[in-house]
Amino acid sequence: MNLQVVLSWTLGGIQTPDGTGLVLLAALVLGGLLLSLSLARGLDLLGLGDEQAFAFGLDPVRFARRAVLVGAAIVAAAVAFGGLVAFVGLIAPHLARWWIGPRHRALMPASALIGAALVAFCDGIARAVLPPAEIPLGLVTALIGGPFFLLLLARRLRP
Amino acid sequence: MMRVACQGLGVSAGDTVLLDDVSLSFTAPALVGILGPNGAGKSTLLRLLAGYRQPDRGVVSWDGRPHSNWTAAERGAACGYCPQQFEPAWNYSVAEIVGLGRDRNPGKAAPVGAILQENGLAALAARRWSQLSGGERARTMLAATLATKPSLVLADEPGASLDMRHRLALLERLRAYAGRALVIVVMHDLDLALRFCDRLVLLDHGRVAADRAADAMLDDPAFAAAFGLRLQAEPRQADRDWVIGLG
Repeated sequence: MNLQVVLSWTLGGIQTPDGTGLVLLAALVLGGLLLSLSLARGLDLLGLGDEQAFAFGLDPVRFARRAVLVGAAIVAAAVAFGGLVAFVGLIAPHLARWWIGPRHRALMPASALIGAALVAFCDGIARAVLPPAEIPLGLVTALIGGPFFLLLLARRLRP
Repeated sequence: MMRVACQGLGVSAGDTVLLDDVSLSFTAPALVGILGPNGAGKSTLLRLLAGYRQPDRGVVSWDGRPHSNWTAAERGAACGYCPQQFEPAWNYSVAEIVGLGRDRNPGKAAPVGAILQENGLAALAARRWSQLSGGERARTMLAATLATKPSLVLADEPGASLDMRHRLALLERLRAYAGRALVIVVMHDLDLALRFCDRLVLLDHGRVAADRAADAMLDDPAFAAAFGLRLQAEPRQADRDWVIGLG
């Protein structure tokens, strides 16, 4: 593996995958989505706070452990393919929640769609600004994500 | 019929003893009030009875089965537990919260729409938590708690944020519900407790200071002593809802 490949992975990017890569990716996305949806009710309940979630029949500690494991597995699969594409995981769920509300059964597929659309849009910019060179995808998402992060922070800090 | 029992319950936080050797047993149907001054251990006791918190010493059992033998889902289905604090992380709507409460035992519950109707919440169905008044919030949580018709209800000051009329309505509702269930309520309104409950348990400094039928509690010297007050009791006229002490 040469330095060029490692460097482009750390900055994130979308390469054109071969046939097997595409099948594997599709299987991972589908499996990840199904796994996420199996967590929907528990995540909704956790949003009520631990004690109320318990009152509605959830063991919050055990569930949180399972959710973190599933989340970590899905993120690991995505990063293995796309590299470190910054801020998408921050922007997509927040936009989805503003758009369709806090129920996870709809929220998770919606944030997957928004995330995919955002990455495709940023990849288009990455390829278009300095042709024939391609600037790293992670750099473009960070340009959008940085201000978005500051916006979120400002909203939260406002009294 | 639901039976809740605890034996030798003890809880400490650091060197503070929150509960000390509390043994109680409750059988349905009954409306039981847990009374006591601030810091007496009322909420701690309710959390232990609900199974949300584990005791340092002693056991709690429902229907003769110790808590460790119940799964979280079984407990949620059997019990309506209404904690004192509720502040959701996301801005759920009334219908969503009632739906989440209902779905802990969907087999025994009516559809969400019918539950909202029954609780006078139909007009608020789409309203979000941040847009509700204190009374509307309390009614939402009560509807979600009772949605599955649990045979055990544990509520921690459910009327704290309600005005007098709604507080009365709440107690009347719980009184009626307790006709076929075991309802244990932590409360601060001594007059309402004496008037509506079958039985009162008085906690003081983490211990059971008195455990009596409601109509015998006022005569127990431990009652006034626990609150550090000298009390005056006046009969309420039949056509009046509440007595307000003057002067």
